[in-house]
Amino acid sequence: MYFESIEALLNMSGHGVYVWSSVAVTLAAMLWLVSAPLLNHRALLKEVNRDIQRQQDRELAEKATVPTDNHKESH
Amino acid sequence: MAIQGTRKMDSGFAAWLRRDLLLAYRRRGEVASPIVFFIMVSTLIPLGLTPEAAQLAKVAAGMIWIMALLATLLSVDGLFASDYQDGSLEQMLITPQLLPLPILGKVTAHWLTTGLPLTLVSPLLGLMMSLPSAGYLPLLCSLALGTACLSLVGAVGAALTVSLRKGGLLLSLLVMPLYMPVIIFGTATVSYAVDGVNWLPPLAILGAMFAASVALCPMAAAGALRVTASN
Amino acid sequence: MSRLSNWLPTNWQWFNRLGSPRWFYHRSERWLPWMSLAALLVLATGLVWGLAFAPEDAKQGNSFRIIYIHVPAAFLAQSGYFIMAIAGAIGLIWKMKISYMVMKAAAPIGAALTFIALFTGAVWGKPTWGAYWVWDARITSMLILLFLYAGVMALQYAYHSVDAASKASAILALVGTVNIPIINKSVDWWYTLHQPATIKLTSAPSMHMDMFMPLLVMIVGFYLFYAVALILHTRNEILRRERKTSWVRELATAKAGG
Repeated sequence: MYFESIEALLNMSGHGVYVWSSVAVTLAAMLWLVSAPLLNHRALLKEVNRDIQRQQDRELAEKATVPTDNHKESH
Repeated sequence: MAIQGTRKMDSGFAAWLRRDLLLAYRRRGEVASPIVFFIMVSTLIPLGLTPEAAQLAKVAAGMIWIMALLATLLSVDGLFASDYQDGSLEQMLITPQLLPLPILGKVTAHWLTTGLPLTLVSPLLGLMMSLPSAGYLPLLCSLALGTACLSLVGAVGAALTVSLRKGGLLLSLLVMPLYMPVIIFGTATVSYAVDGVNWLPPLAILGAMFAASVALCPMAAAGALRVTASN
Repeated sequence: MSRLSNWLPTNWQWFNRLGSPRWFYHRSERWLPWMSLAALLVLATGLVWGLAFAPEDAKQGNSFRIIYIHVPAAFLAQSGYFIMAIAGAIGLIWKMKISYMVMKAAAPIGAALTFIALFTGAVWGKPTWGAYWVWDARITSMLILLFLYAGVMALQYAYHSVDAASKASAILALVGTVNIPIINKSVDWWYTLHQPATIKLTSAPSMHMDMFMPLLVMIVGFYLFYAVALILHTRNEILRRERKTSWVRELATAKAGG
């Protein structure tokens, strides 16, 4: 390693604040760029399921309001 | 049905240019507002900075250019807006003429009613901001070419946002980066002259940008209108 | 699209198939694990190498290590804009839905990378030049690039019709692409006009090999990261736009049940 110790690595002869804050912000942004889509992925699939559920409920409700059995043939 | 003889068809440029000029003449008050804005806002500069002639002279070229850019930006929003609202834009889309040419006619009319007046008023502003005398001719030339570029590039932005309700603000956001090279070379032309250096090279680059804009922007605006105006 | 496949010889089928969102969705699921691993390894290697093992710069000391983040981010920010514009062009020319989805996905990734480049550039400027913001050519060009990205994203969200939004953004991205070299050259020229002594933060040819190698590794790592992020965002966009199709519904019920 170029530096003598971990403390020297963190300090970087006074410039440590600049270097490590850049690293931190960059890693945070990169993490956000990959984690946001992963979280959204789950939410999107849940939304599709909700849509399917809603459509099924609607179809069931339609069937329930049909008065006679004859009309069921036309489905 | 008897076959009709073929008639030479005009490009639509002159017709739309005449139409827009006539419409602008009928709405003289509206059309004058960018120029009034230009003059009034220039009063803000000494109020905001300093009344000292020497200081003003240093920033005069840049400030006048910035004001001209902002005035053009405000006016370019209306390029296609009224036509979209009354349906004449759809007529333009279905005519047999190639779409870039009517668009060029409209943009020319826009420049004649916005950019050209701004250019002609600029020496007055130069006087108010203590622009050194060497800067007046370069200011006129650079603004004449530059505002033409601004109108052309602005037309592309206007075409992209014509059917949106709050399109004006978005339009500014879209075209601002594209305006930056124009203002860089526009102010450089005047600064060079004020410093006593040959000011034709930056003006030539401005001319090149103008040539490129005339060739490309109408086509880009036409493509954009076909996408957005039927939305 | 079926006419196109009659034209193409069978070994061009991959191009046609790539246009199918469903095919891309399923295929990319297999690419992601090893791509993510590769990106992680390469980035970790490059970062540790650059931060801890590379020698320090004679003039700037240890603050120059920010280069290992700033330059790859700036690189990808620019390349990302071109990738976005090319995706838009492919969508306009071949009318491929998936291309428009990739274009939409590329925008926020590129904007975030541009922000990283600006932030690290500003932080780097403080120990080097004494100020957080200096209007030098590179930082100014990066800022304008951020505005270009913002424009494309704003236009995407302004239109309700997905079709109009995609086409309009594609046109804007192409207009921006034509302008990027003009803007960069203009800003370069403008900077030399006002500051004759150009301080180059990164003079790659005169960089020592020991300092240059980790930079190459980081650039490769950033490209891999970009690819992973782009695939992840595109997959979500596919789900969003194809949510009414049967394959998406089957996928959702399978995930819910399983």
